Amino acid sequence: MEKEHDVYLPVYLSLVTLTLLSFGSFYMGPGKIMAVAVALALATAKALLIALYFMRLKDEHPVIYGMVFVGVAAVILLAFGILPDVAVKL
Amino acid sequence: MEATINTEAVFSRKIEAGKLGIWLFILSEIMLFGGFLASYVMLRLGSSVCALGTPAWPQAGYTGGLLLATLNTLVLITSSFTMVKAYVASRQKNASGFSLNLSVTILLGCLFLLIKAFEYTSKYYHGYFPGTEFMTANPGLGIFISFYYGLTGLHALHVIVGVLWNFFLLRFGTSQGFRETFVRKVEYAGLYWHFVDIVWVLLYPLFYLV
Repeated sequence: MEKEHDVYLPVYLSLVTLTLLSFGSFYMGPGKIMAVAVALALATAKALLIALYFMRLKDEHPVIYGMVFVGVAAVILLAFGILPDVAVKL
Repeated sequence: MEATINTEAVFSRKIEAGKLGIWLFILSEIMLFGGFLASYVMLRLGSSVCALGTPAWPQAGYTGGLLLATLNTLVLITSSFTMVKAYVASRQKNASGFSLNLSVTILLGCLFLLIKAFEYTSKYYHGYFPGTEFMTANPGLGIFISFYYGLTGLHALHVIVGVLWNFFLLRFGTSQGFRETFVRKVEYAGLYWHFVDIVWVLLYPLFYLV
């Protein structure tokens, strides 16, 4: 319990740091592909930190993991399944 | 040195019905927001102009609401931290710690909504609202505006629900002390609140940094 409690502050400070880095990435050049990639990568890292530590997903039952995986996989499939069509138009 | 995992022990753990329920609800929310986000990303990648040939997305360098959105991100992240501290306090039967942290979470949720209202007002005065002269001159931006107000509005509704949920826990939940059932209710409210935080963390770069 004490160990679990200890991890929350470092996770919170990491989230604040990543947010400030995201903000800074905008000034790398708004709209530039690298800045977009960095901002999205930082957002994914933040979402993972919140899910794994604040939502305690890392200690959850495999069935819960499976449910979250199904949801995220479905969204990724939805988004990238039509990517070839978009890529042809680009 | 070889690490082993007792898979039988892992899978034989029971899942509380309430926890399974809240995770199933979160799964449905992932699909709801995920569908909208996937549509937004694909439309944005697909074309820079609308059917009329005018720009469909804000031009590079558009900073509308960036500072306010960054502030709101920090507010929600801090509220997630205080929410998890409230949960830990409830498990430790620490009444003052629980009340303090949950109260701060509620206040930060209200602050988020206040900043969001200020940002909407600012957007309205800058013409980023249906029916304004600016939008009439830039009809393609209606696509961006639809996604922006639709998704941030839907998220704000979720924040309102989270604030009310936490308020009821704070106001009526502790009357019978920190029993196991109450601690579980705090955990479920926390899971919902953290999910709402994750949604904002993903909306932030897509609407303000891209």
